[in-house]
Amino acid sequence: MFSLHLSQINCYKEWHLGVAGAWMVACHACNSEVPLACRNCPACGADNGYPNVRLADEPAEKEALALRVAEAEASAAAGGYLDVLEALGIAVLSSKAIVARALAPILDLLNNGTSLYSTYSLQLAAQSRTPEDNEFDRVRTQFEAALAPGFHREIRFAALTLDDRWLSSFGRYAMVLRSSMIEKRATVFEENPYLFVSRLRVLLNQPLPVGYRATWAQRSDLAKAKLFSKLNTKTNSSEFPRLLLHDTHDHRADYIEVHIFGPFNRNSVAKVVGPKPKTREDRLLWKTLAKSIETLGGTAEQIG
Amino acid sequence: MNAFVSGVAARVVFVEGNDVTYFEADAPNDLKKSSLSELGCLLAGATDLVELKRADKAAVFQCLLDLWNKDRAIRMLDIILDESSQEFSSEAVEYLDALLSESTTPYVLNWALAVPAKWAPPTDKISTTYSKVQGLISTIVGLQESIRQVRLAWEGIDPDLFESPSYKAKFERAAVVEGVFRQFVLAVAGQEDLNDALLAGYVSLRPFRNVRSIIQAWEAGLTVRRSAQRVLDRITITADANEDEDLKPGVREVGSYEAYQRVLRAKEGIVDRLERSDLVNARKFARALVDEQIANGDRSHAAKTLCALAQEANRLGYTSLQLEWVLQAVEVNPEDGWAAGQAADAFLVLYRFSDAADYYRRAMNLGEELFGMNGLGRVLRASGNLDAALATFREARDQFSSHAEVFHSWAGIGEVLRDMGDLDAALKVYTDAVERYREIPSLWCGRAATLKDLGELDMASAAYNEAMLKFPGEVTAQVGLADIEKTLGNFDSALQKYEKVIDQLPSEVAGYRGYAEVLREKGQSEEALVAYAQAKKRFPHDPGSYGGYAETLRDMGRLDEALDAYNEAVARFEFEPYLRNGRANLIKLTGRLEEALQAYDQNVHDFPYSLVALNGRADLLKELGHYERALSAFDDIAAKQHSFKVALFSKAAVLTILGRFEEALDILPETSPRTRDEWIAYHIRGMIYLRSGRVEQAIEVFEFGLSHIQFHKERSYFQNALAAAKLARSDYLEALNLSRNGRSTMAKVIQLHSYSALGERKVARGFYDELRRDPHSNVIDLAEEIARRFRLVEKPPAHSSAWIIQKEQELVLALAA
Repeated sequence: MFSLHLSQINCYKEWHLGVAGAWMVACHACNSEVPLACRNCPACGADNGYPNVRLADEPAEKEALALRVAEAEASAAAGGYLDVLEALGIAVLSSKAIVARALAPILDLLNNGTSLYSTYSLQLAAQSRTPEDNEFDRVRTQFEAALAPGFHREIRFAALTLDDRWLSSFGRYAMVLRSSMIEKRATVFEENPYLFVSRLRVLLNQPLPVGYRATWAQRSDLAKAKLFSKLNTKTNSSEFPRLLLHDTHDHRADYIEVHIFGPFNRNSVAKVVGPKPKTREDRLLWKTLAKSIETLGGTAEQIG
Repeated sequence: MNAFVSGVAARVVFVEGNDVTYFEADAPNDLKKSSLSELGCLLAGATDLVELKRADKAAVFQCLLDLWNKDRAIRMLDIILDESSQEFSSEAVEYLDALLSESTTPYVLNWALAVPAKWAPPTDKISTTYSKVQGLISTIVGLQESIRQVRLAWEGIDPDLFESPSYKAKFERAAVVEGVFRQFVLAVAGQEDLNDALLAGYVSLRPFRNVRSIIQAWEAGLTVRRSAQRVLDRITITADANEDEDLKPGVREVGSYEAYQRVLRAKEGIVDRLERSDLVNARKFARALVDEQIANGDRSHAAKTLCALAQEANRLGYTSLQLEWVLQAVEVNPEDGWAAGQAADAFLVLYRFSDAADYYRRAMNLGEELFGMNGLGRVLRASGNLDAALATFREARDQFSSHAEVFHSWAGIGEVLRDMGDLDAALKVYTDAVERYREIPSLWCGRAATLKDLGELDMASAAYNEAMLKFPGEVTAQVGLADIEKTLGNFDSALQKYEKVIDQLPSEVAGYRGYAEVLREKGQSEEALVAYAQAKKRFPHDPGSYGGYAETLRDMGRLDEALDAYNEAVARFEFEPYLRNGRANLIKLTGRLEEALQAYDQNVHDFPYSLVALNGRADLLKELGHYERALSAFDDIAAKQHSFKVALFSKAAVLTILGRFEEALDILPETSPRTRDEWIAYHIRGMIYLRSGRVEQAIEVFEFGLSHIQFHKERSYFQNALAAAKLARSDYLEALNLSRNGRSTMAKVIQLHSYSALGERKVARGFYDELRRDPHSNVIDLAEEIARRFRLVEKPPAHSSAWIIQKEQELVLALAA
C-alpha cells in the first residue's frame, strides 16, 4: 500500500514532459536552429530572446499551466471561493522580486567600483569561479542546471513578494528589485526546487515537468495554480502576502522563485530592507549602504 | 561534520549527509534547518568560502570569527581609503584598530599591497590613539609606487602562460591571499630580499601548473632583479624534498588479531550508540576509529568500516547518517568501487536520484560495472523513467550474461514490466529467469508476485508454496502467501503466516505490519492498534505502520487521536502521498468538507503523479454531488492508468447515479468477487439492479454480499444498500433492523425514513435534527424532504416519494464506492 506507484509517475511524466522536444527553436530571422541555452542565433546572431523566457513561453508550458489554472478555478467554484482566487490573482500582478543576502554582499553590489579592496576581491572571486570545484557548488549546480538547462550560470535567483518581506534563511537583508529592470528577462517557478524535485521524484538531468513556470507577466496565473488549495471563503486579502511567501525560517519556507536572466546591478535595486545590525562595524556598513542607495534614488529601510 | 564558513556572509553552513543546517555569526547557538537546494542562497555573495572537513563546532566558530574579522577589517579600510566616505572615516578607524591583530593585519596588508589605492588619506588626521591604523595607512601610502610597479609587472605577464582567464584569476587570488604580492612589493621597496620573496611565492603557489614560468615572467617585469636562477635551483630541491615527505607512509601498526578484535569491539560500541539514538557519540566514536585506521595506513579497511556502519545506520532508519558515512568512505578510499556503490544506494534511498546516478557511474568506472548498471536501472525506475530503466536492465543482462550476479538484471526487467502493467511479459521474464537461475529465491518470488498481480491468486499461492519448499527459510515467499490469504479475506490463515514471518525474521517489518493489517480488516481494532504501535516503535522508518495506526484510530471513532497520529506521520514522512490522503479522508469524515477539499487539492498539487491523491479529490466531488465534475476527474485518472481499479469502479458508481447503467456495467467485472475491489464492484452491480427497478435481483446481490464478505468496512456498503432496497419495497421494519445502531450518515438517513414511516415521530425527529447539521447539502435536502413527507415539519413536500427513494439510492452510491 505504501510503496510508490511507479507506473503512476511514468504516466504522469509522459503526460507532462511535453517540453522534452523543445531543446531547439527556429531563429525568427533566418530559421536556423537556436539551442535552448542560447539567446543569439549561432548562424545569424539575431537576438531570439532570453532562454528562460522562451522556455516559459513554450506552448506545452503555457497549456499545462492553463490546465492547472482551470483545475484551480473548478475547485474554487466547488468550494465557493472563486472571488477570493480572482482577488489573489489581481494582487500578485503587483508583486515584486526580492533577493535576500547577507549585509556585506549587498554592500558590495551597491558600492561596486567605489570600495577598492572589496570590489577587487569580488572581481577575482567572480572571474575564478568554477562551480563544480567542491561538493557545495556541485550540489547547488545540479538544481540550478535542472531549472535552467544549459544557461544556469546566467540565472540570478529571487523570490516573489507582495510586502517586501523575504526569506530570512537566505540572508538577513534583502533587495527589492525594480520590476521595470527585470520584467522582460524574468520568469517565475513554482517553489523551492529541492522540494519540487523531491515531491515529483524528478531526475535532475531530465526536463522538469511542464506547467510549473511562467513568464513575469503570467506570474499571477502561476500563483493561482499553486495557491488555490490554501484559500477558502474566509481568506482575507491581508493574508495574500504570507501565502505567496511563507517564511518559516527554515527549509520548509514556501515561495515562488524568480529567475532573472543576466546580472543586475545597483541601478536595478529599488530598496534595501533588513534589521538593525548587531555589531558596530555592521551598523557603520549599513550607514554607507543607506547613503549609496539614496544616491541611486532608492531607499533603505530598517524593519524587524 | 563538514562545514562551509564565510566571513562575508557571516554564516556557517553544515552539510551532514542529506541534512543542511546553518547558524549566523551573532547567534552561534541558533542552529537552523535548511535544504540542499538552498546552499547557493545561504552563502550567496560569499567570496571567502572555506570548507572545513570533519571539524568540531568550536573550530568552526573560531574560523568564522577569524574570517569575519578579516572581512570587516578590509571593509573598514575601504571606507578610510574612499574619499567620498570621509564622514564615516573616524568610526572606521576606531573599529579597524580594534580588528587588527596578528591574524588580521597580514591579511589586510596582503590585499592592500596588491592593488594601488585611488586616494591617500592624510595620516596626520588619524588619531594617535589608533596607532595600529596609523601605522597601516602610513605603510600603504608609502608603498604606493612599489605596488604600482608590481601590479604593472603582473599585468604584463604573457596571458598565454595561463590556461584561461579564470585560471589567471585563481592564480592572482592565491598570490594575494598567500602574500606573494605583498612580498614582491616589499622586495621592490628594498625592505625584503627578492630571492626570499621568489622562494616564498614559488612554494606557496606550487599547486598551480606552470608556476615557475609565471613567476619568472613576473619577476622579469620588476626593476629589481637578483640571481633568480640560484633561487629557483634552491626551490627545486626544496620542492622535491617536500614531495618525498608527502610520500612517506604513516606509522603502520602491524595488523594483528588483537587489532582486528579491537575494531570489531569499537564497531559494536558504535552500533550500540546508534541503537540508543545517541548519534553524537556514534559519530564521535566512528571518527576516532576511522582516524586510527587511516593513521595506520589502512584506508581500505577504514572505508569498509564506514560502509559497514552505514549499513547499520540504514537498518535503524538513519538514512542521512548512512549517507554521511558512505560519502566519508568514498573520500577515504576514492578507488573503492564498492563504497561508491554504497553511496549511490544511500542517495537512492533519499530520492537524490541524480547523485545516485553519478555514484553508480563512478562505481562502474571503478570496476563494479554490473552493480553500477543495475543501479542506474534502479534510479531510472524509481524516478518513473520506466522505458529507460527497462533498456538499461536489458543492456546489463545482455552485456554481462555470464556474470554470477546478472540475475539482478533479470529481476530488474521483471519488476519494471510489472510497473508498466505489462504483466504477461513480466511473467515470461520471471519464468525464463527461474529456469536459468533456479537457486535464486527472489526470482521465484517475483514470478509468484506477478501471478498475484494478474489476479491468478491460486497459481500465485502455488508458486509461493513451491518457492517455500525449495527455499525453506525464504521469508519473502511466506509474506507473499500471507498477503494472498489477506487479499482473499482468509484472515485466520493470514494471521498464522504473518506470525511465522515475525518469528523467523523479527528484523523485517512486513510481518508485523501484515499482522496488524489483518487484525484491522477483521474489525479487531483494539488488537490492531496494539500491533501497529509495536510496529511503529520497532520500525520508526516505516510509513505503513504509522498510517495503519492512524487508520485504526479512525475505525474506532477516535477521530481527534487519529488526526494527531496522521499529523505525526505526515511530519515524519513528508513525501508519502498515502499518508496525506489518509489525513484528508479523515478530515472529510469529520464533516469539514471545505477543509477536506483543500487538503485533497493540496495533495494533488504536491503529488500530481499520485493516483491516490487524484482519486481522493474525485471521490469528494462525487460525495458533494458534483457528478459531472467527478466523472471528468475519474476519466482523467483512467486515462493516466487504466488498471487503477479503485477509480474505475468509482466511475461506475457515478455512471450508475447518472442512470448510465450500460456504461457502468461495461466497466464492472463479471467474475465472482474475492478481493476487496471485486466486492466493491459487486456492490455497484447490485445498485445498478436496484436503480433500474430489478429490486429482487438487487436484494439477492446484497444479501449474498452481506453473508459472504470478509472485509469489515465494505460490509456496511452491502448493509446500507440492502436497507435502501427494503425501503424501496416499503419494508421499513426490515430496513430499520439493518441500519439500527448505525452511526454513518447513510444509516441515519435510513433510520429517519424508517422511524418516520413507522410513526415513531420523536425518534425520527432526533435523526432529522442530526442530519440537518450534516455537511453534505444533498443529505440535508433529502432529510428535509423526508421530514416534510412524513409531517415532521410544517411544510408541504417538494418532491414525490419516488424522489426520496431515488435520492437515497444515489446517496448509498455517493457515500460508498
